[in-house]
Amino acid sequence: MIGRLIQRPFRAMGTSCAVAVTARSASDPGAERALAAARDEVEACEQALSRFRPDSDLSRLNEAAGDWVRVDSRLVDALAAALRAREDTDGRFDPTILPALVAAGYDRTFDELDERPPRPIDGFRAGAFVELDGSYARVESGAAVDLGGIGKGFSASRALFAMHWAWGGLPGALVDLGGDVALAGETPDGGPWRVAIADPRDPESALATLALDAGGVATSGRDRRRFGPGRSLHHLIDPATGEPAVAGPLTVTVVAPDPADAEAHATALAVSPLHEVDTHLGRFPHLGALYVPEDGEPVALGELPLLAGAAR
Amino acid sequence: MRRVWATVVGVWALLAVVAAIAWSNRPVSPLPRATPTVLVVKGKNGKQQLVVVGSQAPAHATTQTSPAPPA
Repeated sequence: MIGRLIQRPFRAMGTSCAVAVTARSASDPGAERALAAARDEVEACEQALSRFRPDSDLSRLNEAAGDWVRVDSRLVDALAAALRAREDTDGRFDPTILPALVAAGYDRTFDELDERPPRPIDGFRAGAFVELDGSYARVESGAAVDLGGIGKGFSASRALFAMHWAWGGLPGALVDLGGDVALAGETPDGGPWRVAIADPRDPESALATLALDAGGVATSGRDRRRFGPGRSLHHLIDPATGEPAVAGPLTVTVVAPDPADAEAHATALAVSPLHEVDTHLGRFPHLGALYVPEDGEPVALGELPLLAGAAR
Repeated sequence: MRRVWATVVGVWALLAVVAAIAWSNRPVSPLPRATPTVLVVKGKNGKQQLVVVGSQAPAHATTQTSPAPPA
């Protein structure tokens, strides 16, 4: 037994968040420094990456599409991770789907969405150019970037590092940004971190529990964040069509060493049928996934660390 | 009389500190427990098997599609 878990809930990025550290006592000053550093880093990431803040670095970049813009290093790093993920997923994850997302109706924060019908989008083309050079970035003229499918995982990872920098003796920590989780180090009881996977068909219960020493977990799906007439639309755009995806599961959970990777791959697999998910995980053996179809039993694929002793 | 009032105020101050500590350390949200669930586990050789999973161990966090914040 190392100590206790000190948790701090807060709201950021349009969702419910929490940070937690393993500490020897509730009054450990290092723990408070680490928790404060994590929240500051999440706020800094939101200011750099949010498309809903008119003065964010991402909004400035989109506004000046076609021109080089000096931006925060967090945005450069997040764009680099997003471009890598686009390549790794053969374009199933694409940070340049923002025009299609706006046309579908997701044009403001989720709390402010109305029930307007989707607008037709002419000439949408995925895979727009995004260039990076030091602390400068440029988006292809006419294109726009949304980091909704990777930003929380990226920020959770950054917050985890910020906690370590703030408290050199940090035993272990966890960052949860609306269900996108980054974790590392020791738990209060000395065992692995346990992350429950919520059942999208019954959110009060869990489908399974994962046991992890470090890394990231993310879930993407069409069970929540619905909008439009009769809440018939969802926010998962298929880059191939520019419209809300038809194929894909109710939810998919991905486990990866890098939390940003976990979220980006979850976004990609959330618009993919099961056989494509299976093929994808064959190419990336360090990933694990739990695919929950609209109908039928959930399918565990790849290196999914289900809690030891739970399976029988 | 002044001593009695000082004691009362002292007790109230102590209760306020205890309440503040309890509030700041309250659990984030009720975490769901894994109830026995059937998963299809697909192995590397493509072979599938049905596995019942479930754990009584409480989770440290829950992954899910991002919910909107509570009002």
